[in-house]
This record gives sequence, structure tokens and C-alpha cells, in this order.
Amino acid sequence: MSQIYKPGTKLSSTVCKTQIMVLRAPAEELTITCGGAPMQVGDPEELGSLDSAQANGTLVGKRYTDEAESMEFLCTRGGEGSVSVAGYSIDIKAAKKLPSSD
Amino acid sequence: MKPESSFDVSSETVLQTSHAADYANKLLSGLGCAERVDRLSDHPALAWKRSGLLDTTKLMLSSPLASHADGALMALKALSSQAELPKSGALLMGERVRLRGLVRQGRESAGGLGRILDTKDGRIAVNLVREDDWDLSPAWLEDNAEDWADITRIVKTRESDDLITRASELGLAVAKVELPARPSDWLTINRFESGPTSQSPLIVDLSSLWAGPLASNLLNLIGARVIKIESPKRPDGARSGHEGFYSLLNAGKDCVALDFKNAGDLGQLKGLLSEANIVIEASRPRALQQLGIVAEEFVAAKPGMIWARITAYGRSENRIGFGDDIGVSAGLTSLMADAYDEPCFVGDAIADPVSGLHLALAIQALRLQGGGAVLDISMRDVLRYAMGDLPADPAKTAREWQTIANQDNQPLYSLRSPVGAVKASGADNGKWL
Repeated sequence: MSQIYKPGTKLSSTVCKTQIMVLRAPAEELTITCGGAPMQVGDPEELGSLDSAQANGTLVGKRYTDEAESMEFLCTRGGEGSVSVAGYSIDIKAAKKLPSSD
Repeated sequence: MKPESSFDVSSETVLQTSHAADYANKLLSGLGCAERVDRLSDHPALAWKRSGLLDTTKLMLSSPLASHADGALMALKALSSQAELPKSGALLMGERVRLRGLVRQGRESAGGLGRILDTKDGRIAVNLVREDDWDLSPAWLEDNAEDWADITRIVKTRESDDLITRASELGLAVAKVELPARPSDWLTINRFESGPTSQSPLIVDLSSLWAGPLASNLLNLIGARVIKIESPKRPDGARSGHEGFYSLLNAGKDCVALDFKNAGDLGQLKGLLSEANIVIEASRPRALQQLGIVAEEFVAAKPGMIWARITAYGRSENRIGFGDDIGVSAGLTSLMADAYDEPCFVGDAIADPVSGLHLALAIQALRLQGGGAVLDISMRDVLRYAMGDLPADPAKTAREWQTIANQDNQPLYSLRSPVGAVKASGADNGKWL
């Protein structure tokens, strides 16, 4: 299920309500899972079972990135599963710095 | 409204009108206040010019917005001891741009970070005010977009509504150029139990930039104590903007810094919020929800407390906005396109000062009634409301008002001076925690 992802692609969890948007991704094949199951384009008709070891949850509006910030995802709908990418450690990114003026 | 007898600009009666007072009285009666004002003030064209925004926008605005800002301040003065408040409401709209000496360039905003662009089916304003915003444009457009030329080219092939929906998911400030109908009201008040009215209420202000800080600044000038709350990792961005402008809005406020991600700090924040008589915040609804902070619970627990929430487009829309793009969505750009065939940003982050001024008035009115309320304002609705009913022929009104402005030989309104000390983020942690 690994593939190259383009910015703007939306992925849905197959085991919970989580939906993410790819903001940035390296030009390499990635395996993105949520709650232990591969994520897919478009919502699934039926939800599979959540791996309880992958159930830290996602928060809508939060951005998730790896340590080197080589990839970044925006959670557009929160759910119970944790998003992970094979070979990377993904965590919440700090909020955007406020502008000095608008 | 008293009709203007003629556009003979030599006539003194024309230069002073009842636009501001009529608007002030409408605001006061809408807020359930018995006070009324009865005095003439500068014609809308003169208020626009003397605020500095005619120079910034380079075009006359065919809406009495500047006089209505005067009216909102008049109403606030009617509800307080007047001495410390600014001389004019319109002045507040031009403060920042006059200090920074900026004018808009064509379709660019005065600050230079926003553009008005053509789409496949209309026009949008794109306001990329944060450095990070550029990182999001590839995801927004699903295409490589590294500069304005890229964005301009790509946006032209897309439909406005799709662009706005995607931008709103990403937290980018993108607004449609349109002219919405004027809302029947500009605020929503959810009433709770009232309580005693304090002479020097404590405001805990979680907001940043302009609208919220202006509201607490005006209330500070009429006796409220203000604690400005910031995150040490994410201080008010205006601190790194124009220093003189930051001082105007924030002098006289105590400053507390708390890391909302730290459980101990979050507990202290909740403690301060429960001590407050007034809370002002301008975060997205989910931000405080995710911290377990629910306005209604605080207000229910403390009779008389007022919790004021500012959003760009209303709480049901999870959509961010800044003063310039909200100004576009409220209809100012359409108005200019109608009058001059020139779509442009109007003023400088114009929704901010207009909203801050109205919010201060609403809070003061509620306070005098014993408070006990959760108050919501949408900056777009406040601005659209304050633009008033629009002229049938914007081009004609703009021409006539421009003639009035051309013959004006008065200087711009005098800029304010900061009142009180400007403090560093967290300077008063020891005093309040």
C-alpha cells in the first residue's frame, strides 16, 4: 500500500473518523496508517477494527510532522486512531507563529 | 437621518452631519441602554479623509463607515466618563497605517501581504500573513505554488468557492469579493445571571494583534484593569510589529505568560479566568475546547461575568480571517469595484479596529447592566453592519464625497499617545500567579 503522496491529497482512516490532508511529503513511497490500518483516499463504507496499541487519537486542526519535518499532515477530522508512517516517528507540531501585522 | 441640505461644500451645515449620532443611538438602543447622544460630527467623507484612510486607500469610500466608527465611540463615551477616551472613532481605523506610513499598491493590501486575484468565476482576496502560510499553498492549490505569480496563474483556473473551502480547511485567510446583505444585528448575547457592577473590573484578555487588544485598551482607559495573557512560545505577534502601535494598544496592561500545554500553567490560566469579571478571546472555538475551557461554565459559576468571543465569520464557521480579508468579505472591495471599477483593499486591516471599538461598547453596556453574558461577535458581521445601508449609486456618492474631501484643509486627526507602561510578556507573572 505504499505510494508517493502529493500535497493536498486527503486520506481517511479505515478504522475511525480520522481524515488528514497531506501538506508536504518526500518524493518517496510512504506507508501511512491510522489505528493500525492503511489510510485511503475517500471514506470507507464500513470501519474496520482499531488496533488498541495505535489509538492515541488525532485532533482536528493539529498538524503532524516527523522529527526532520520532511513530511507534514493536517488533521481535517479527528478520530481515535494514531496516524503513523512506516519508518518515521510522527507527532503534533507547534501552532503557527502569529503574524506581526495583518 | 437628517438629510444633507446640499453638496455645497462652502456650507458649514454640510460638513457636520448626524451620521455618527444616529448610528450611536441605534447601537445604544439595540444594547438596551437609555442613554442618547445628540450632536453633529464630521461628514463621513471628512472622517474618512482625516482618519488617514483616504490616503491609504487612495479612493473615497461611499459608505458612512468612518462616521459610524465615530458613532460607536460616541456611544461608548455616553456610557462612561469621557475624559480618557480618544477624540474620534475614525482616528482608530487609521492609527497603524499612519504610524507605518503605508499605502496600498494596486491590488495589494497596505501591509503588502494580501492580494486580490481573479478566479475562474469571480475574485478572491488571499492574505498570506504568516511565514508558514506559504508552506501550505501547495496543499491548498494541489500544485506547486512558490510565489505570487504561481498563485495568480493557478487561481485563475479555479472556482472561488472551492478555493475558499480548501483554504479554510488549511487555516489560510482567503475571502470572496462579494457584497453580503447587511445583517439585522452585529452581536449575539447569551444571558446568564447578573451580578454586582465593579468600578474597576478585571479583564483577562487572551486575544492578540488588533481587535481584542483595542477593546481591552478602550476599557482600560475607562477604568478596567487588564491582564494580557500570552503563551511564552507564541507571544502576541504585534510585539514584533510597529512598536509605537503596539504601545498604543497595550500600554497600561499587566502581562502574564502561561504555557497552555503545561498542566500547571493551564491550571493557573483557569484560575485567572475564574477571577476575571471580563474575558476577551479571539481563538478558534476548538482551541479552548481542546484545553477543556468552556466559556459557559465559567460564566455560569460567576454571576455578572462577561465572556466576549471574537471570530472572523461566526462560531459555526471554523474559518480564520484577518482584518484585510474580512474587509473584503464584508463588501468593501465590491463597493470600490462598483464605484471606480477598481477592486482593492480598503483601509488597513479595517475589520480589526471597527470590531474592537464595537466590542468595547458591547462589553461596557453589558457591564452597566450587571453583566452575566457570553457575547459573540463575528468581525465580518460587525463590519458589514457598520458599513450601513449602501448608496443606490456608489459612483455618484463617491464623486460627491470626494469633492467634499478635496476642499478640506484640516489636518488629519491627532494621533493618540500611549497611556501607562508597556510591559514585556510575562512581566507580571509574580503579581498574578
